[in-house]
Amino acid sequence: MFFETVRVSALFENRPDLLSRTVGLLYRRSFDVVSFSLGQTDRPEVARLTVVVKGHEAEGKRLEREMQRMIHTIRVDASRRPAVDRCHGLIKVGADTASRADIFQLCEVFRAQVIDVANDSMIIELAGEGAKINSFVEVLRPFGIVEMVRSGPMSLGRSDHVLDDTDRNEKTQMPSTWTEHRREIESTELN
Amino acid sequence: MRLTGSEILWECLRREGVDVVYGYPGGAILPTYDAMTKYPEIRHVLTRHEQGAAHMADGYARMTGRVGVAMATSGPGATNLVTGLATAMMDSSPIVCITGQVPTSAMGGDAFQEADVTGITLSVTKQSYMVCDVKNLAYIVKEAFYIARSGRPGPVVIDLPKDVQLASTEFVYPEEPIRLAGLRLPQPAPVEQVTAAAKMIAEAERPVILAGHGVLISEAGRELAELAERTETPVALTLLGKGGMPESHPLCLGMMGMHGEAAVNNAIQEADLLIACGMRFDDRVTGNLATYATKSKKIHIDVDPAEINKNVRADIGIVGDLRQVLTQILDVQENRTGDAWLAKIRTWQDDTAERDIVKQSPRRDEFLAAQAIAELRKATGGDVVNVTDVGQHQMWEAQYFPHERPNTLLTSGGMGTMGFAVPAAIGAKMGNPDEEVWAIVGDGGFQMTMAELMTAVQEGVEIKIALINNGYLGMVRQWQEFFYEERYNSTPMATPDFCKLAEAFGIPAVRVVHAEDVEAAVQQARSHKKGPMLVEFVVEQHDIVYPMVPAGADLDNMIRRPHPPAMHLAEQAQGDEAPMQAAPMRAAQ
Repeated sequence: MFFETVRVSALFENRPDLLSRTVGLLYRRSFDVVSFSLGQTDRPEVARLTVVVKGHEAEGKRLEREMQRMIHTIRVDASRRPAVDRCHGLIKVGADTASRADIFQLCEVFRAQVIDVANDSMIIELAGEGAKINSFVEVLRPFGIVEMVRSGPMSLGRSDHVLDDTDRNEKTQMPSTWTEHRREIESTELN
Repeated sequence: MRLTGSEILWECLRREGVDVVYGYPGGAILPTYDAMTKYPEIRHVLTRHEQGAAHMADGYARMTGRVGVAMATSGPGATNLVTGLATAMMDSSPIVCITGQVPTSAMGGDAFQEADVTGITLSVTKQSYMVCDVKNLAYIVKEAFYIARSGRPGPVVIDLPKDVQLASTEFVYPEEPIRLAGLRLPQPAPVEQVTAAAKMIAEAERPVILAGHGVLISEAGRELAELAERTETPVALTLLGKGGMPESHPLCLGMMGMHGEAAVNNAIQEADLLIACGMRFDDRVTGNLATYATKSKKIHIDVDPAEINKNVRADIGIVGDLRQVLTQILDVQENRTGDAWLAKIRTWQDDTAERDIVKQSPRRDEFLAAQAIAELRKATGGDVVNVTDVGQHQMWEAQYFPHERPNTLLTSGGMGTMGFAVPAAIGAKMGNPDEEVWAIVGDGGFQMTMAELMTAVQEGVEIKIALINNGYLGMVRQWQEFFYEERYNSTPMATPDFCKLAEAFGIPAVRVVHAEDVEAAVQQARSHKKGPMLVEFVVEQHDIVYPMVPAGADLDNMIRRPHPPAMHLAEQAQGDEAPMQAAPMRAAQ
């Protein structure tokens, strides 16, 4: 089953309601979400999202416009810039003494890491494009997959395609006055 | 200064210039109501239902341009606000709703009167806050007001748990201006876009300006009129755009869309350029999108980037404050003349005028709602504020009550919320006591929120109520007539004796059953200066709002008002039957 998808990256002020607001927007505006990956950046007050939705470029542009309405949104980008897109997979595969060596060999080919070994299974970690994880799953299937978990892609633009160009030394570019005010109250309380 | 959360809330409201709060107390908001006694400069209006509180705050906001405030307790109090929030969201009205919440320790445990308010209101608010720490409260209140009124205005909810209201902290008011990473304040439009738009306008042969609510919010009426005059471009209004341009202006065409006059819709369909100003191409405005204005290029100016290309693809989409963008365009705009195009529109307008029901002399025994509204305008001189409800009377008001200045028609356009008018009129009158405020309501919508009459009585708010009573949910009945083979299921509506009802509320009331009695009744209501007064117009039951674009049909494929002779034939056919069972006249396609 093949369908067109479009990837959108966004940078948000990391507020308590960020996740529900973002998901609420995708739901209410009828976006067909393929994957959603949200986490904080090097600054705890800023979060970054990579979301993949079904559709063509116009759908990405529509999401870009809708996200711009959220007061959390610092920047959002739906353009097809050159980027690395990496998914993350953890696969627990059946492995006894007989099959272990074969699996290790496959891991080497796929540049996957064995991160846990038990008597009858092992957990393998793999990062890469979605297709790579798919094919790795297929080669492992004969050994017996016990369970697995994977994330959607996380995307960073290559080279000077930078979404987060905040000057980290410039105080006025902080997401909002929120954190500063909080500090002010706390210092008044101490005095 | 150490203050409790409740006190901090009132301190912040006072600093926002709040002079009135509409609300309803309850367990989870009681600490805040208790602290209110220390702030006598803020008036509290006890409503009869929280929906009324939200609509009053909305009416206040639309009237004044300032943020309206509503307050409710947790659980059912908060959920009752939802319709009011959705109404404000759809029509970009700035309100802040403060809801009590069960204590943080009980949250998530299905406590008494607990509801997930920020969750429930997620899609009908511009932003919402759950205050989990009293230290954040002052900042949140300031930010909430800022967000509600900035950019494209909208409703904001602050959910305030009981223990946070009771907790105390050092009160430090955040004096510095709000800075938000995500709030893009309107910027000047790029020069290339402005010059391209001006060129497109100068070169157009059949341009039409579509003026929406944004004209009022951005206070761009003067710039709009100047653009129209200098380029001799006719202006069509959306329902919420009424008042954006004086309707007596020769270039003003009046309302467009589903119940807009055919001349207006024809002009839009025949145009070679649409200049959309602060409007969002709602389906009630466009009809079938596939056939909508296919001959024209589009310039779309809106403060909200999500509106550009949402429903109609724009050749030039300009994101910005309308007044600023229009000023920029006017700076470079070449004048043009539009005689031929205006003459063509005039021929359509003449045809429309010929079918005008008010200009035709109706039968002696007939009293049409449109007449009541036209007579109301005549009697008041038209320089009043109308707050309309939703349904047939709302459309007749839009058709037969031209407005000359901004914010003189307040109505629930996007959400179409029945029950809006009475509470919103109370808020509007309190926001601007110098205005004469009329709530124009149908018998259906009136019965939804008529309990708020007692609020008006208790607070001594001088609103006039024009109740258009046809004993039907008229607009739904009209759809059943046209599209459901006249099966009038659940639309005939029993009504109380509204004049006796008003008497029970202690409100003077008068019933009008003939067109010639409207004037006297209206004057009586106008001279009543103490509290509300009700005028009931008992009108023709089976009347229809013409013209009409059926939902989803092409904009110029309208069900037209029958020509006068056709109308008389229809009347004869109808004359033999008893009024209640009368087969309403069929539309001439």
